[in-house]
Amino acid sequence: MQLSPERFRSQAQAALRDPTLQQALSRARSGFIDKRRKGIHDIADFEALRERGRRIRDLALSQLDHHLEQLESAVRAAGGQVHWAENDAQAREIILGLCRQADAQRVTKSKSMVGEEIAINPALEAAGLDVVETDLGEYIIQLAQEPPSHIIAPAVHKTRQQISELFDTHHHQGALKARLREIPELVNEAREVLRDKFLSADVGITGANFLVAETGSIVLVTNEGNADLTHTLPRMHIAVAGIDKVVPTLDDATTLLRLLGRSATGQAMSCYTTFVTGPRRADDPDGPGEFHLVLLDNGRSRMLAGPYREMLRCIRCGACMNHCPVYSAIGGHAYGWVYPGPMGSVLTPLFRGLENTRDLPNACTLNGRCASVCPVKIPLPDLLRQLRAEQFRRNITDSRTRWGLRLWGALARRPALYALSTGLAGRLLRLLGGKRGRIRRLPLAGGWTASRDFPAPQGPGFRQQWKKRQTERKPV
Amino acid sequence: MSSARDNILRRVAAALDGRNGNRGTGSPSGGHDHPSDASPPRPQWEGALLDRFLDRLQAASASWTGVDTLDAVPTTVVDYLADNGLAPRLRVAPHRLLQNLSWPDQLEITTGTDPQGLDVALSVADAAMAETGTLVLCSGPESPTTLDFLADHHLVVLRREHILPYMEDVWASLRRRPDFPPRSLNYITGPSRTADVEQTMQLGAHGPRSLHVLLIP
Ligand code: SF4
Repeated sequence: MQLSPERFRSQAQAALRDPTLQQALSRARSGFIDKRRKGIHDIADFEALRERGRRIRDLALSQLDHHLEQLESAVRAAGGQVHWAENDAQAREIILGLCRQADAQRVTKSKSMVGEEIAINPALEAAGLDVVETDLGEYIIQLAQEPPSHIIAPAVHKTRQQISELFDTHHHQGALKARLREIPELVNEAREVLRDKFLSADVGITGANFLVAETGSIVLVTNEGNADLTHTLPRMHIAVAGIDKVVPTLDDATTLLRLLGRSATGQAMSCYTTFVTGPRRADDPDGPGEFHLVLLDNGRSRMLAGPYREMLRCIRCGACMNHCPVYSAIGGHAYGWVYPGPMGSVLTPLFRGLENTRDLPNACTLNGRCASVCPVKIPLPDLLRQLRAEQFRRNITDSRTRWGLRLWGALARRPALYALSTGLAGRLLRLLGGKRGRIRRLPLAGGWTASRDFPAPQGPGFRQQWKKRQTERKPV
Repeated sequence: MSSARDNILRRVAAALDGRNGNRGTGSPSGGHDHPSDASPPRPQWEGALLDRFLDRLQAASASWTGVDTLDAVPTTVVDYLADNGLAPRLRVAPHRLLQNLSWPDQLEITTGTDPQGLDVALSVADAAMAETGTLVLCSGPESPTTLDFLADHHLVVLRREHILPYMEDVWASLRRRPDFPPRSLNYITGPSRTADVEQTMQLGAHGPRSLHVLLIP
């Protein structure tokens, strides 16, 4: 099925009706939240750490051109090459060109969200290359021919039964009759299958969690060790990253690493955190002969200029989606593009155009949990509200909502009319509620009452109560 | 025709200069207003550095043995292999610390980076940090990165005095080296793992299934 942000509504509805997906999501839900809560315990003043993270990212962005140039010369000094891509097409072209130059047949990849953003896999496959995802979750969804549904746990929507079936089809030609298998067995099988791919790869492609301007290093964080096998074993290492990923110093990266692991998986430190600087040195016993860094703009410089600059602070930890009630009800695929959840609802409209992503800024209850856990303090609900306002201004909001908002605006500006109509509506709802005080089916809001009753308003309204209070309080 | 590089940098510069007061004042190398001025919020602990390191190391599912002298490393390795039912075969990193050890005859010693027969590898850590129980290994002529990731079981020799409190201290110490930064600077915290199948932690994803530290004075 081709997913698209334009079909958010129908995709979300399908997700709610998918029992296997719901089973997988309910397992993940509390897990992520508990892990983070326990993980941030060992830093007494976690709030101060978040504030420091925010400042580091803001300062880095506020001198981005300077840091990018510094990064470029440091990578070159270490013997690497830097390529610049204005958009996804240019990035694909550069990477494909490099693979051809390396005379590559097999490419191993370590999970990269920018890789998804530029849709590098289909481009390389179309050119006849064998592309192998090596992060276990990413490998699973590659077999299933699906996009990731979470930025750090791409196969979070898959159950063990589904994974057993996929491995049966792809590793055993169906001989196991899709029997349910244990987790260690599955992990071990993937390890063996992928080990051969690692050893025979010509090019390794990774993303980068951070880029360090002072040393020209790229930072790779994994628990599996797949990024390290990807950048160490092949002849050529290509790293692809957004221009927003730069931080000035190693110490800055250190602070952000303390935030990243804890916010993502509750780990003080992921198993493998690697700083890669250039290609193999003259006297090194291993490592790739060539190192290439592809820096991608793809709309980021536009974001930097506009009112959504704060979104560029994002370090892709996934905490916002882990704490989002909408995400945890529908999963990542419903959002229709690479970035799901709250961060995706801001990013996708900015990357793909507000007119093609109408529902995303509205798929939010503005409960604020995402902003309260975001390690770099991105005010996600504010940004979503800003996108909604922009939709209204640019006439993108659908006509029913526009009329509703107009009507409400007209009422709200006329106090007498407002009092009259809300009073009437209240009485009508009480009537509908009957003795039970609950409404089974609300006209015009059938979707809301489909899964729960609507409580009828009780007693006098706010304005009446307020008036009463004011008179009672009057000094005698 | 202008290059992608120039276009991007021009747009970035315009974005920063276009919004008054939005270009930061902090110097990238520290200086005023830079967050690395004040000391960062980070884990604190009471008690000795070594205890903290070992506690965190074990929390990350790694294990350790104290070795009295460097010369006792071979017998400790032999015991470790026997205790864990592993074949008496060892890949040794070409590190100067390991060059003059006398290995018992029953142990098959190999060198190089050939993935064949790479069951157990022995390498030397450049540093360690107590903050998270992490080993630091820098790639270089004495330290092939391949060994640290392809081996099924990873043994690492660590000098006690190389344990530092925080990552900032590791940077300060490594920066003094003439060959810094190495191609691959690896912070290793416990053996390889994945939680990609039903959010359940499973050790031994792509890297070593076990990580064992040999702590020497
Ligand atoms: S918006 Fe914040 S919480 Fe969400 S992924 Fe980015 S950094 Fe993490």
